[in-house]
Amino acid sequence: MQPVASRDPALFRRGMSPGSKCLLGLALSALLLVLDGGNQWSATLRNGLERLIAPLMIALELPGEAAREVGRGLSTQGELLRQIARLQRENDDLRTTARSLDILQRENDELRAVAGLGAERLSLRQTVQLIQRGRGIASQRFLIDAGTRKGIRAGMALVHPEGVVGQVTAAGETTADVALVTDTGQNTPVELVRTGLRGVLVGEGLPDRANLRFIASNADVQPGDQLVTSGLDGVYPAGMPVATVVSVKRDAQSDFARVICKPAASIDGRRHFAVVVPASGGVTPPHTPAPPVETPADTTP
Amino acid sequence: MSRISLLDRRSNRQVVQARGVLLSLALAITLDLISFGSSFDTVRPDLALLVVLYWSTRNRSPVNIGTAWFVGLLHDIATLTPLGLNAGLYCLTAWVGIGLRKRLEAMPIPGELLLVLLILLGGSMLSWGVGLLLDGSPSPQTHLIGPLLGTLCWPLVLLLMRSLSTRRRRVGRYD
Repeated sequence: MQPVASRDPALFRRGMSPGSKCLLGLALSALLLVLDGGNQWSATLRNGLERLIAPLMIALELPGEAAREVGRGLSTQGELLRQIARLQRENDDLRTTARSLDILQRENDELRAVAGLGAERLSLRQTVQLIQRGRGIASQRFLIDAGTRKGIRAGMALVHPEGVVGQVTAAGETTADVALVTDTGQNTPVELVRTGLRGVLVGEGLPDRANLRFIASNADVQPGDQLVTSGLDGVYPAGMPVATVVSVKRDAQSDFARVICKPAASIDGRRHFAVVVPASGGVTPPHTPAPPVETPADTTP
Repeated sequence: MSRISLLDRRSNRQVVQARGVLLSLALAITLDLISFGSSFDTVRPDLALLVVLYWSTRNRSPVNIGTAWFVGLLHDIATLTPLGLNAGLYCLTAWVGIGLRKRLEAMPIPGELLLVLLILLGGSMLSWGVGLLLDGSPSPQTHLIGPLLGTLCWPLVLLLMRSLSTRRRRVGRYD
């Protein structure tokens, strides 16, 4: 008697060869890669799929979060009292500074009004939480837990009290993709605090490293110089810390210096960030009314 | 009667094997998604790819090129990489794994490690090339460390998967 499987006609039994299957898979992958570049249909598909697996991603973050909580819980009472005292001192200092800043802000607004310029203020749109970090060539990107439903739109800036973190590149209904300032292709217009020299900070896709471009080889740049946003792009509000110069290489062969910088804000060990827009210009506010600001950005040390 | 019981046992074994494959893939993807800090995340080995490679090099494995493609796509979504990048890479790796099945079986561990390193390096370079075409990927040194670490992890993957296979065989025998 013949085995059951061999009774089928050869045409149906054999199917596609592994090579043909591989070619088909590669062709489908290439199609997806082409469609994924800014196509609305693929963005919807990706956001839909991300929404499906978002609970899993949040669940995966829980053990780390629990470990951090346990670590915090292990602090002794003495440490807590010291921390409270330190925070009270900081709070008093900040309140004093805020009062003087209010006066300066008013003066600045008056001067800008006289000069015919719009007020440059920060408008906080939403406090968001990191869900998942990218891997491989997307290692300088991450996913946040807020989307268009909460007023988040592509182009908005993401900040932390330490400085600029990145920019929203695509927003789904409940999640949004963020590219860090260190991501490949991210260009952030900056200026040096010490000299006022302007340049563009370009991400290289590597953690904690970005390149300050268009700086002449004889320009006054030193390691340790602070970079802040110039606000020229209308995406990032002006004057926010972006990075610190780590090294400057001047080559006689080149007209430009190679300036390597370290971003001011890192996402390591941090989960909460604020999405902001410059009050004047920049990203057009979404049509849906933005919910009220719940909490200030996380100040995890 | 004996033929039916033979078929039953075979299908039962296939179900148990499929469960083992699903469990190992789910575990690998879960481990891939847990972050250990940006510096390590950039160079960490792709465990799901290692598991796909392992299963594709085994005889009578339920992992085929289609499964590898879907696992890759899932990885693309979960790791925010451009859709299709890992899908294509996993599919190609599974194809190479299937092609090298017999050769790998007869090979001693050092040879196997060298072959795995070459496969992972090839995949990583392909991923780097696609990244370069898309938006200018980072320097290739990060694409070299991942495959090296992946190759170092290969004996561990073999050990875990073989222990899973042994357990699976025992379960299959008692079913």
